[in-house]
Amino acid sequence: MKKESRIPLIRGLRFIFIIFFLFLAFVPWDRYFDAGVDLKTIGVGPSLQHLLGTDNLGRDLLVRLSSVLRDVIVPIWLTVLISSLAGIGIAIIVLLLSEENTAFKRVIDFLGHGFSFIASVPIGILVFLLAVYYEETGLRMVLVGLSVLLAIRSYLQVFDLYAEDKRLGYWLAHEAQGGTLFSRLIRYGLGMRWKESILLALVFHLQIAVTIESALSYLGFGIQEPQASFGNMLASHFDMYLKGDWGILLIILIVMGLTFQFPKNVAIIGKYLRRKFIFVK
Amino acid sequence: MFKYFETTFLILLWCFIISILWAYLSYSLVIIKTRFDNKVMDRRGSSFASSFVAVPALVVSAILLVFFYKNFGINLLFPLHFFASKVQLIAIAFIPALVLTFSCGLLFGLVQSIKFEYAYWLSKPFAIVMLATGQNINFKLRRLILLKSLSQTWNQCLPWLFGELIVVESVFNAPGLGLDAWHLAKVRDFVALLEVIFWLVLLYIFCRLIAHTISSRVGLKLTGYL
Repeated sequence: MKKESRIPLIRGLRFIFIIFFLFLAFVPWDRYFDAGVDLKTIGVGPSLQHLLGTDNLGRDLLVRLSSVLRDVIVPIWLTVLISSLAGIGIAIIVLLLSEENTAFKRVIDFLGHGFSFIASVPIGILVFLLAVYYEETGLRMVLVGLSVLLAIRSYLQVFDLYAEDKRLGYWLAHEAQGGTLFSRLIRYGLGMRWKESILLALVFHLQIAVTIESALSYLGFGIQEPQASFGNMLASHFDMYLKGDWGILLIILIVMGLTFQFPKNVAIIGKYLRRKFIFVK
Repeated sequence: MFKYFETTFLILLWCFIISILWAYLSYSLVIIKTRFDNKVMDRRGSSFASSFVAVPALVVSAILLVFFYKNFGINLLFPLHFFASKVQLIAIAFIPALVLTFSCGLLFGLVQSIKFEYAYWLSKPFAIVMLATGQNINFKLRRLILLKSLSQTWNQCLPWLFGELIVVESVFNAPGLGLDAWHLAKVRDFVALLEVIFWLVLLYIFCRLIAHTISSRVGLKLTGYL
């Protein structure tokens, strides 16, 4: 099959994955399946009573995974979205303010070095240290750490993009004609050239946030049992799949894969739909 | 502390060796592919490469652990440091290093970077002149492209590599700085934890400095070509 003819197929698959993820996350599975501990059904395979089987305490896997998506992943993504957008917004405001006030610009330059330093430190280690320092497990510390760090990364990204573009011909021409910096940032920056890079960074932030939360929960510093998360589910079933029970590992990995790819799939399908239905009009 | 430092250093050293070998292999494959297709490769696949940064090391580690244990009977967990020989320790650090290089996007980033750099430098006038006079341009470009791609990719991937280090060491039970940090965090020994983090940060800064120095030296060399 030629590469070009594979594109609609891949696009279709992406769309199916999006639907499947939403179906998994937002259908109230706990109404249809028993989510409680049942020691008689430990490690049972998929059946009509348990569509994806049960875990090491006999709990329904579908209900557990659905609660991971709904109660952990969605709040993380919302936080990352809000913090990234806040970072972009703050960067725009700071750029506007520092244009007129040189003293303020110096302070911002100084702060920028500090932010660059924070951004260059591994996010995983920083969030781990935050969770350990505040001696608090659960989602809150992960969300605080991720939102601060990803807001800083978005802030710095806008500054980098501005530094690259501010000497472009049409930016200078617009400035010479008396145009304001605000309109340049909105029209030429956010509205045109920066859109793609910001979207890519956002997708990457959403993916990396899930990775970091899973890693922290795996290490025992994120979400704790009985609340479910990818990390603590992988950790608690470690002995099961070492004994050769691959089924549970496979199911968790498939749902994790769906989750990682969800932001990217939405971005690609959204871009395609926009080009097809809105941009043409 | 030295024992922990030694394991982490071994894993990082393996990461470095794997990345160099992979860079050579990728460069050769890029040249073969270019000859075979009779055109310079495009940059397609870049988004594919970047998506691998988000593959959690704990997933890859778990799969490898089970796969090797079930199919080949090889236990990838670290042996007890006291009973293991030096050769055994060096050999066992390979798989965690492989997982790290894969899950921090180093392997895929390298391929992407080499593809791009090869296409870029092959279109430069000096390269066209060399091709026209029948000189071996691939040999001339090899060192330059490999150094630049390696330093660039290491710079990009280092934070992710160090971030995943704790997870990889804890999954493989590798007695390194990451595993020690994890144990100390669990027992709330903050002073010792700070010491371990200090060594980790020092190692990170050291790696970053090397990558930065190579990068700036290559930059100087490139200005000569331009």
